[in-house]
Amino acid sequence: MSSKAILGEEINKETESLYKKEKKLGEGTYAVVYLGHHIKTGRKVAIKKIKLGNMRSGLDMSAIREVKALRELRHPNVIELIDVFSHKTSLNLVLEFLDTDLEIVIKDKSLVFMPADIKSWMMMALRGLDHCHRCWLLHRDLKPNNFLIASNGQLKLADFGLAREFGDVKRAMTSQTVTRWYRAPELLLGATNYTGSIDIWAMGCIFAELSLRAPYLPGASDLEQLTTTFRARGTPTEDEWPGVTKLPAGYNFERFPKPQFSDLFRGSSDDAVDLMNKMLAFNPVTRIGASDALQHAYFRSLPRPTAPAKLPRPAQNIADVDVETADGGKKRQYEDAFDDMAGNGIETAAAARDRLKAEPAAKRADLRISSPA
Amino acid sequence: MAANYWESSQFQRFMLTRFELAELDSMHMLQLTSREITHIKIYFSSLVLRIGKRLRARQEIVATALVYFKRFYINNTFYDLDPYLMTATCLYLACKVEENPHHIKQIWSESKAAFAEVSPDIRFPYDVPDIAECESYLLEEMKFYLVVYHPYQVLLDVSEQIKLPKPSLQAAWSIINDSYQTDAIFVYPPHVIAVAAMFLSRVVDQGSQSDVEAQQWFADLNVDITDVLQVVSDLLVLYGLWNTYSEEKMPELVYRYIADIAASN
Repeated sequence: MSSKAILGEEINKETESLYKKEKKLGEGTYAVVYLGHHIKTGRKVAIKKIKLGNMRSGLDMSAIREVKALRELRHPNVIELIDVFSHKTSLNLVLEFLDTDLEIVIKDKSLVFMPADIKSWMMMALRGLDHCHRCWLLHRDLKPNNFLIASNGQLKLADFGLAREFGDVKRAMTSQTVTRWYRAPELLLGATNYTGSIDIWAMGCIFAELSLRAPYLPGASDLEQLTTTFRARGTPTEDEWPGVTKLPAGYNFERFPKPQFSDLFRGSSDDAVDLMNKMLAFNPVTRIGASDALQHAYFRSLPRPTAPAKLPRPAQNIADVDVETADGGKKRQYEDAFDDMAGNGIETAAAARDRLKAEPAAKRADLRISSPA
Repeated sequence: MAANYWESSQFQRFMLTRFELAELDSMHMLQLTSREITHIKIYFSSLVLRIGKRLRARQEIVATALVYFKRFYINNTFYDLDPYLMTATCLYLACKVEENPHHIKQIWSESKAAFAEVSPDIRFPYDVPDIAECESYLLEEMKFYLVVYHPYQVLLDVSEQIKLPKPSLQAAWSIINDSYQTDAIFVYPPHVIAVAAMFLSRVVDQGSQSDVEAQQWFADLNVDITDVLQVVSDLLVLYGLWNTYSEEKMPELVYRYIADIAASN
C-alpha cells in the first residue's frame, strides 16, 4: 500500500474530528458506549465504539448488520445513525443520544403506568417495527432494553446487531436468535424460515410485560422456554397451529389448558387483550402483522395514547447527567396538566396518575394490574 | 433490505451521470486507450467472478463485490491501493454483508489460488491481516453504506409475471452478469438493467416462438425506453470489445498502468 493517504481515510478523519467524547455510559461484550457531543452544534450524541479485537478478521457480523441496517433506515421510532467513523482498530457509530430505555422504565416501581401510557409505547414501538418490516428487515432481538427513550418521550428501536433482511424463502436463517424470553415458539422449535412474525411475538411479550410490570414468559432455560410459553398461553391445538400435533416424537408437550387472559390482564381493556392475543398467536401465518396491528381497534378506542412528552419516565436518565434534567423529570410528574384533551371530560392519563399518586398506596394496590402467579 | 431503492443510499449517494463517468475514466486514463480501460474493467470483474466461483458465492454476492470495487476506485487509483488486494477484500466484505460469511483465511487462500491460476505474473504478497486492513479503507471510502440493489430480483419477479421461457430467463440472467463489466449499475436503477437484459435476451433468442404477449408487455412498460436502449448499446459495445480482450496480457498491462500512475504523481 502506498503512503499516500486514501481519500476515504481523510474524510473519515474529518468526521471523527466533528465529535468529542465525554464519558463512558456503559460497556457491553462487543461495544463501549460514550456520551459525546457534536463540537459545532453542541448536539448530544452517543458514540458506540465497537471493538474489533486485533483486526484479524475485520468488521464482525453484528457490526456489519448494525451499520448496514441503520445506514438505510430513517424513521422517528428508529434510532438515528448520525455518522460512522473508524479509529485505529475500532469502529465508532455516532448515534442520537437517548436518555433511558423501556426496561428501566418498566423496572422503576415508583412509576405508575396508565393504559394510555402503554398504548402510546406500543404505538411507537409498532411504528418503528412496521418501518423495518416494510424495508424487509427483521430486527430479531426485540426486548424492552432495545427500545430507547428520547428526552421528548419518543420511543426508538435500537440495537440492530442481529438484524437481517428476509423474504427469500430459499435461504435458511438461524433459529438461534432473539433473547430467550421473547423468542417465538416457531424459533424454539427450530424454524429456519420465518418472517416478521417473530418480531411481532416479541412485541406481544413486551405488551404483556408493560401490563404486568414483569417479564411475561421468563423461561429458565432454552428447553424450558416452550413449556413456560405453553403454560402461560395454553398448549396449541391442531386448530390453532396446524401441524403442531404431528411433530416428531420428542415433541410431546404437556397439555396445558388455555387460561383466561382477561383475568391475568385485569387492568387491560378487551381491545388490548384481543390485540395481545393476536400478536401472541401460535401460528406464525395467522399472527397479526405490524401494520395490521396498528390498524387494530385498540389504537382507535379510548383512552387515547398519552402524548410522548407526558409519558412516565425515571427521575434520572442513563447518563445521570445534570441536575436540570432530573429536576425537570420530577417537576413534570407533579405538574402534568395535559392540555390537548383537557376540558373534554376525559380524564387524561397524566391527570389520573396524579390522582393515583394522591391516593393512599394501599388503595392503589388493587388498581394495579395483578402480577403473574 | 429490498424495499425501497429510491430511498436507498445507492440511489441517493452513489449514482453518477454518464458524463461524470466519462470524465472519471478520462481522468484515470493516463497513457491507456479507452479500449484498454474497458479491458481492465473486464479483467477485474472476471477475477472477482473467479474467486466467487471458488467460494460458491451466489451471483448477488459477486455483484455486490463488483459494485464495492468500483465505488472504491472512483476516488482512488490502482496505485493508492493494490487492485488485487482490493478484489479479495471486496468479496470478503460482500460475503458478510449478504449474510454468507466466509472465514477471512479462506478468502485469502482462494484469492491467491485464483490469481495463480490466471497468471504467475500476478503479485499477491499479502497476508490475512492485510485484507482486514484493506477492508477498513474500503468501508471508509464507502462511508459505511453497504446495501446494494441488483437487477436479479426484478428479473425473477417479472419473468414470473410474463412467463418468460426458461432459456430467455437464463440468457437475461447472464446478460445481467455481463452488465457489471459496464458501469450501468452506477447510472441506471436496477429495473432498467433488468428490462434491458430481458429485451436483449428476447432478441437473441429468436428461435423460440414469437410471443405477442411479451411484445405487448414491453410495449406497455412504463420505463424510459431510451435508458433501456442505452444499457443495451453499452452491452453491445462491451461484447464487441470481448473479441480483442486477452487475459494473458492483462497482468502486464495492469502493472504498466500502475507504474504510469506512480510516475505521474
